[in-house]
Amino acid sequence: MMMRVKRNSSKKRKGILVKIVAAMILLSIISVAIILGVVLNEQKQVIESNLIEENERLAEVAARSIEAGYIARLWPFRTLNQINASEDVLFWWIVNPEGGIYLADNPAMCGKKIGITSFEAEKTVVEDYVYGGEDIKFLIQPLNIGEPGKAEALCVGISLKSVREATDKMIITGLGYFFMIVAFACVLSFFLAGRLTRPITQLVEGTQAISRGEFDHQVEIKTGDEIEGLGDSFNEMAQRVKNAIEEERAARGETENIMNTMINMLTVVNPDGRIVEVNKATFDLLGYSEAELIGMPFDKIIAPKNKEGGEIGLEDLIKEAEASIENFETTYIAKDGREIPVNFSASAMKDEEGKLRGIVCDGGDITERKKMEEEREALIKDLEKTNRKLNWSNKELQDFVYIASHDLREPMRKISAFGQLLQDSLKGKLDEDQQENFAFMIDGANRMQQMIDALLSYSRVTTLAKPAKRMDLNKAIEDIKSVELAVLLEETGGTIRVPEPLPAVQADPSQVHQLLQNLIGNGLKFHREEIAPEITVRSRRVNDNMVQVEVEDNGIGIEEVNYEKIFGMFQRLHSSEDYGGTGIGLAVCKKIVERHGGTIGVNSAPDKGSMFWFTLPTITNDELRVRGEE
Amino acid sequence: MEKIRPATILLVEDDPGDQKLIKVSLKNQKIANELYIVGSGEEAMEFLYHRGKHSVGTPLPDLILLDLKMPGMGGKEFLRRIKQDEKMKKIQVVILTSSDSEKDILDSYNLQASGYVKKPVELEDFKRVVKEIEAYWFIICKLPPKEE
Repeated sequence: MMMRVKRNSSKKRKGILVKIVAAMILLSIISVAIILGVVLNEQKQVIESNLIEENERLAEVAARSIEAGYIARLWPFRTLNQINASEDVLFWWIVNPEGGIYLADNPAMCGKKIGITSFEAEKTVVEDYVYGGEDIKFLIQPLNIGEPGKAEALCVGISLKSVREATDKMIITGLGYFFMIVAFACVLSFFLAGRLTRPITQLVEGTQAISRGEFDHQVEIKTGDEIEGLGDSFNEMAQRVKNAIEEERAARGETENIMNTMINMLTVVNPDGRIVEVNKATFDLLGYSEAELIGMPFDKIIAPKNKEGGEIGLEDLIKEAEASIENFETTYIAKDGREIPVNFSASAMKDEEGKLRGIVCDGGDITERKKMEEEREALIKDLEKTNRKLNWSNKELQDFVYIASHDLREPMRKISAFGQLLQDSLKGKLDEDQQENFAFMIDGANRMQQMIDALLSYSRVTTLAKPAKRMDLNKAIEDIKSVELAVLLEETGGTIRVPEPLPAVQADPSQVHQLLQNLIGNGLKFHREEIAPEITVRSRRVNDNMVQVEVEDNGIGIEEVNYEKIFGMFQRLHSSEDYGGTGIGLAVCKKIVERHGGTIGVNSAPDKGSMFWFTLPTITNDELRVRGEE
Repeated sequence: MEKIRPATILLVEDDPGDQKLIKVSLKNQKIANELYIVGSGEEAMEFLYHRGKHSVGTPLPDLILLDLKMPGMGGKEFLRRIKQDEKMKKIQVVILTSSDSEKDILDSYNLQASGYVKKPVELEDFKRVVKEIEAYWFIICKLPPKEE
């Protein structure tokens, strides 16, 4: 299309110049030819009439001489020969009224007829005549001789040779002038036509330049006429087009820039399923060149799988894109066959009439995310495996501790029982030393028995664990006061104070009961000499889920270096003579608290008392409300 | 007060130490009683049904003191079997064991044990408990009449 326009315009441009030049040349040739023809003809006539006029005078002079001689009966041959002397005179004849020649310069002509009769008197006549095959002028001068009424005439043949010669000469000169003028006209017409067509050519070239996209092209026409106005309009138009295109280009450049800085793969697909536009991320990630991608069927790079795992064709893609596809996990296929997992979104682009123009497809590379997900899953699996193993071995260990301590108990019971039996039966038969040895043996067996019991109770924290439920700490403390620790309270003269009501907790009641009993029991047990134990139990909320319970005593206290140690198994800071017990109590406490997701600790100083604290899950306000409604 | 007839006790206990301790504890009692001791559930069955080495024939016991953990037929299996026998099910069975697991206690009562006693650790306690069991069943309680 463009090519044809171009060719047409160049042809047209040539045509104008040729036409103008041709017209001007033709015009000049015609006008010069006409002028030359007219002038030549005029000159020829002038020369001819001059010639005739001159010879007329000569003939008249001769006629007068003949008339005068006729009276004297003399032929004025001298005059007649004078006529003959003229170069232009071919002959002279004297003719009678019948047209017969009776006197001639050439005697051979006498007696011949000339074919012309009845000459008019008093009037010279010039006629065209053919003599010897040559066009001549035949001059007839009437003579007033002879009979009246019957005029005789002097006929003179005038050669036109000189006229012809003069004319030929003039024609040659005229032709010279003609060619000179035509040549000049040609040059002039080329120059003029060139000047006339140059602005048009400029305009044509300008149009072509703009069609090529050279919007900076400006035409310079200073003809001062309408064409200059046209040129100005053209320049203005070009400038406007340039501005409009630059604006569009800027907008387009911006869009392209945005597209290309996008990390996601952006692909525009036409309704035939072919790719019409891609961004940098697409060809970078897929390994195709931009040119390869444009026009490629979209399903060559996407393997969309719907939720059921089947393939979705283009129709489905279009149908689904109508409602827009969002965050659909699928796969793009790179040039080398690599599969790239993508988070795919698509939406339909429609024109004003609602007809589908294309689909904008957005694919975010989720390889890293997938990899991380897989790694995480593998890690979770590993963890679960390890956890299972740990749980298993943990359970095995607990079973072992339970079974071992349980089975150890029986033989120990035997040692203790038969030791006593033996001691009883040997009463009075043993000396003091032997009795002491016996006592050590039995005491050892008993303590072993206690330790086994302690171990059993420690292992029961997990083996006999019960699900957590709502538990009232205030009631638990009341029970401990009146049942488990009643004797100890009486013995020590101790007191247990709960200044503010304690909150309810979500816990295994028997275990928390044990926990409080152990801590309060310790507070009563490890009192300073001569000072009655005073136990205070307080609580404070840590956060929405946890509550901290503090059991404070005024006892012997603990050095900071032992804060950790006391929670270990069978850890005793004092001899069993001073303070009884197996040293398992706080280890059991720690295990109970930790099983409930809490922490336990102590703040203390020697002779300043101790403050044991632990945290337990509490009943949230919401749970309380639900319970209240119940 | 009725005349107290001699009570017959069958002790089913595999541990010789405990056999002796129980025997010792039952001695020096005012109640006239007869104590038979068997070492396993199987032997106890022989004893009750007069089979094997017990084919000589002894009267059915009034009370069975039964240990739970024994090699071979355990205490629970023995209990289940005699409670299914019309002739045997009236015999009072008291579990005397070192286990204090809730499961054992519950299982025993479900199998119609008459009582469940954990063997005390201390010798004096042990003696006292055995004496109290005897006193309870033979002085306080009325037992079903003895078959002739």
